[in-house]
Amino acid sequence: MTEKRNVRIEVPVLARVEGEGALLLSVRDGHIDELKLRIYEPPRFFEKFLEGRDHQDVIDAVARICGICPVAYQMSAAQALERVFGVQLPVWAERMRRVFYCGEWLQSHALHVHLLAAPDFLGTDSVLGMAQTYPEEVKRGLRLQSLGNALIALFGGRSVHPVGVRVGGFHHAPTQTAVDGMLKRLRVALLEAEALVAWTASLPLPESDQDFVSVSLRHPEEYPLYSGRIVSSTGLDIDAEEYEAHFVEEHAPHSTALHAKLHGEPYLVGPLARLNLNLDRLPEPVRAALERTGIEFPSRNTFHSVVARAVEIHLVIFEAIRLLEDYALPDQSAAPFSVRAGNAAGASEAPRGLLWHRYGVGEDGLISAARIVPPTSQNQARIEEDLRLSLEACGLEQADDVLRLHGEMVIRNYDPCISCATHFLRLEVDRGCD
Amino acid sequence: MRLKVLGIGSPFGVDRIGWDVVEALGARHPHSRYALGELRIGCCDRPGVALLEQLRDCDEAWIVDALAGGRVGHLRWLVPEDLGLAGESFSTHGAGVADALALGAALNEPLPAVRLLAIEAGCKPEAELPQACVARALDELSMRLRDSLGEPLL
Repeated sequence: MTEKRNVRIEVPVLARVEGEGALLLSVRDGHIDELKLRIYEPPRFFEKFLEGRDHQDVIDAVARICGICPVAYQMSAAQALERVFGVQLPVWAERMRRVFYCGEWLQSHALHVHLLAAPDFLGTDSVLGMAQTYPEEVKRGLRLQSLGNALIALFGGRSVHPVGVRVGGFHHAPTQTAVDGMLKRLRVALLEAEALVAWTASLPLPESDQDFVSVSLRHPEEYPLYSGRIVSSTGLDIDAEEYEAHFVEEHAPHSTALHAKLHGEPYLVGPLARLNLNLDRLPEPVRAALERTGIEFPSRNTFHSVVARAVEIHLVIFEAIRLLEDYALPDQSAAPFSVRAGNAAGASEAPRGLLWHRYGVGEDGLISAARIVPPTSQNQARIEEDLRLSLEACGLEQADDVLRLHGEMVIRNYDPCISCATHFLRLEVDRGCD
Repeated sequence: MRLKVLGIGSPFGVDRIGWDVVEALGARHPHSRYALGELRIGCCDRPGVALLEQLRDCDEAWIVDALAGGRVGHLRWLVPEDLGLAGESFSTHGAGVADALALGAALNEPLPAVRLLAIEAGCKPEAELPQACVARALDELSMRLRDSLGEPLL
């Protein structure tokens, strides 16, 4: 006889909440025999929408894919199109794109660390509970997020779905006065970011020791953000053009988001993967702050992602200050170029990890083909692998609520973006005979 | 009294009606100083918790926003307590007005008195609301504005 117990968390339906997810866990004879992270949000067909469009339409349209990481989509798209058109970015534009991207990492990471991840580790249901006990930390998160939004708006005109980027650079250059004002705010925030690194390291993070493959960009000199080669902890080192020869996306019947594999295996992208692969690219003050925490990187504890995000907040504030300190208005904010037919790939590091695009441009100058591989798609198989290992380590005999909460925590730790569903997790536990 | 009127929404379908109403209000009431106080007007694109920043430096805030469901164009004045469910949806993408206000209260932030003019949008969020809905909401706001701030100081 099979006894099936279901535990369901009711989902409130609220405006501007994107997507839903579910976790199906089946336990038989003390072992997990089925575990599925279900993403059932309908596919959005963005790539198809882009066909037949002008190149600038692509840059504006892909920003609409995500309200939290629009800059990442614009950066990967712009790089691919600039390769197609043979555009050499002026030094000013390349530096300022890195600053622009710093704003997105700052706002996205600050929000995730303080509003999503920290309540899990502090034993509260949400940031509202956390605000009662840790009000100053929550306020710090809001200040850092606000600063990130302001940095995006400085170059993008607005922080949600910015419109400042074009092939070859930017539509406009910020004034010296606006940059000076931003520098003042960044310098104040630098101290807060350093304190944040120590704070995340002091959180009671669960123990975890997992063997996983890390994948990220790697730049010859800088911590990877805007550009670099794609590398892995298993020795991969390729140009973005070679991505399809090594990474394969597959349909999983239970998910409308594709699962990506590297040479047939799950892999990790995002802050922890980046930090694991690029410790030597951290600026000295940022690396010193990390070393003072006593946590050793590369780390096999995926819960160290929250520390990695804090380190990257410290990094992007440091970087934005460095790049803006000698700011000067350029003669032109974008390089001139001519549209031509071709096909090329571009990759950058979204807050949640590697974001890869490929575009074909026809003889008519319009988009003939588009392909976009977002970070959460790449992380999905790894999330399921992590869930399996983490729930087994947690103890499958635990009550449903304990398993559900631990599963949610594991998923939230990846800050998944496709469905933004992890706060609305339904858990079905089929325990078989017990 | 320092009053701020904020239109909240996005460029998509009925969600932009808060912007349309507040922009029309700005055109109809171009003055900032009134016999009984000051008026500031603005629009926000899905501010999430950043709404708290917008609520600083005013004694009272009126938020104009689309409300999913109901009778298309029907107006409803609400207070934050009417929204309910705050905090259950916090995600990086999904913090709404109720969540932001609840977080501000939990942080003991000095929030102004907040009222919401909700414009019922029916069940087709992708549709555009008729201009008559904007005009009706505009008339309602103008009337309340006169009650609260008196005549403009020219």
